[in-house]
Amino acid sequence: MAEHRLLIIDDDQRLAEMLVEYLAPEGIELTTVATGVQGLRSAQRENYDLIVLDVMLPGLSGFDVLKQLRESGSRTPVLMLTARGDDVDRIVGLDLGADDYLSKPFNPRELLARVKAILRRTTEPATDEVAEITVGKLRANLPRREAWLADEPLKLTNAEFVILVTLMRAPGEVVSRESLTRTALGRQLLPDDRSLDTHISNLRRKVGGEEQDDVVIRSIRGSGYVLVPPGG
Amino acid sequence: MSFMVAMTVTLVGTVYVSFRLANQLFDQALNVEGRAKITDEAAAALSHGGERGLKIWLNNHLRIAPGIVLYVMNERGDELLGRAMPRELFQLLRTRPFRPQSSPPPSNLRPMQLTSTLIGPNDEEYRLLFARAPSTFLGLLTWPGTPFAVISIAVLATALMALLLARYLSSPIARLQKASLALAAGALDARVGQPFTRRKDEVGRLARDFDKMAERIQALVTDKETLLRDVSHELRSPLARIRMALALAQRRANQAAQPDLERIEREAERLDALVGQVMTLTRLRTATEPRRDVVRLDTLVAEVVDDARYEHPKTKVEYSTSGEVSLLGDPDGLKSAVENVVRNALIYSDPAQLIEVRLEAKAGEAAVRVLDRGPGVAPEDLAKIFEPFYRTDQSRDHRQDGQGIGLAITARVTELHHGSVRALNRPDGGLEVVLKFPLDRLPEAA
Repeated sequence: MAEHRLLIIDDDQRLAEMLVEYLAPEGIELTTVATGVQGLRSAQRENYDLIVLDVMLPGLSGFDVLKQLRESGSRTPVLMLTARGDDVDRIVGLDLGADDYLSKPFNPRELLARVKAILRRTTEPATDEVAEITVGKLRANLPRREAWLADEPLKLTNAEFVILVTLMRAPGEVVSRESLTRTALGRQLLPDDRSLDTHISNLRRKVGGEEQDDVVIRSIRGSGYVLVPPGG
Repeated sequence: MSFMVAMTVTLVGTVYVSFRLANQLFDQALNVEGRAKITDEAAAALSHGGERGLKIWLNNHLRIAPGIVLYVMNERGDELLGRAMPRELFQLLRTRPFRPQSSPPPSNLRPMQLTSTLIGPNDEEYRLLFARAPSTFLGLLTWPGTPFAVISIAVLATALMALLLARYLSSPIARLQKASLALAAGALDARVGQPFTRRKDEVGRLARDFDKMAERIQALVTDKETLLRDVSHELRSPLARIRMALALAQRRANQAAQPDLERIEREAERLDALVGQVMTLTRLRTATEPRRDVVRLDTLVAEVVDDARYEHPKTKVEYSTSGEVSLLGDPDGLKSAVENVVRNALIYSDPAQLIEVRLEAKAGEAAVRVLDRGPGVAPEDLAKIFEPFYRTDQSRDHRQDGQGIGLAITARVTELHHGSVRALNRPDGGLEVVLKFPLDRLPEAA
């Protein structure tokens, strides 16, 4: 009996088949589809725990799939497979609501680690004793996974929400990039890892990063990020 | 510019010659008979009205013909109307004694000397002078009675013509020069373009040929880049499958097979890294502007040094910095630029040899120096090591795995950041690679 159900949307079917075989012993049941259209249909019909999405798909691209998926209201976590070192792919993907990215060709062990990290973060029941946190005009509801700025609902991706909550739990304190990556992305910070920084810059755009804003996310060079409360 | 000056000089010269010609024509216009007639008139005015009559007559005949001026001098050597006379003429009249012998006027008129002697009612003598425009160009301009405005307009008009002509001829050449410089600097889309290519003359033909050549060069280079990108892109899929199959095999195979599988994995990783570098390089080649984040260069270099120490624990890597150095740029690109140079130093050094990494910042410029004690590079190859897949003979013996294109990536990244990279052999052995980045226009970091 599989513990988790995953979908992979990748036109390389031979790779996807091997991945099915590789993930099975880990308790992961993987469904493979080759095109964006099929993937989108399958994602909207079934309830997957995670979608692995190649951005380079013929026809409907991975970005289109992700965009339409999020527009349809689905919050299923997405792990993107991008071209190596392509900043644009990574930035666009994470902005559209992907949870993490991995450049292709990937090390299968690394893929497994990321998949497990996202699953751990998103499927384990929240053990929070508090339901709501407020810092300045910023308010986050943990069970509902929603946040508001001055009572305006914020449109945050999964990862952005978790990062924001992590920073809100310790306002005024610097949280290191390592520990943010661990708690928010559920994995280790790797060399050349820009995932967190991209999430933060997206989050800043939505929440505030300018000095005149009510709440500021400030980057502390070389160490991490800090959420500065009003007057702080 | 010098061309324009030459044009102007030539045209001014032409104007000058034509004025001289015009002078001669004026002389002919006022021939011997003409002068005799005027002299008679002057003599009549003198005999009827005395010196006063002559003055009145002279006032009415200041310009008897274009370019010719009349002067009258009395025995005291003064001009009747008090006008200043050109010095040579004055001298000429003074040295010739008045009243040499009694010769009746106006028969003593000598055509070439252009003077006549008039005898007044009280037997006093007057000299009548037909003065011609002087023979120097500037003198002509200042000569009283020269139609100054006419000459100025003529000169200005010719100068303007010269300028227009010069521009007409030199501007397509300047454009052509600009385009070829841009092409040489790597702007493959540089063209001479219209309207120059539409001209029917030789310059137009040259412009068209240049554009055709640039078109061809661009196509060739783009084809090469596309091929490189497509090949590396196509290699990704089989590589991903190899790594996947390997992971499955590693899980199933017994202990005895593991070392071989690890070896395959290492080679697959190497291939993977190479493909990744090729893709990075092709992407950097087509990029024109890097990202512009605030990058702390001192911490970035420190990270690279830390990684190097971690990967090569036996090698001693020293790092020194002059303090906090920030610039605007692409953090990933800058990091791999520095990393590739340090990695190159590690490849060519023995573990016992010291590698120094220095970051220096001064007057708007940051320099990263990486110094090793390796074998160095042959002087003629120093610039070539930044070309893709360039290897010195020394590395051909497979002593180390060269990176092939790491330094080419470094060169491209520094270029995108308007910096430079240079390699030189150290006088006491080893190689020094210097990366320089301009530090201008850094906004105040929040």
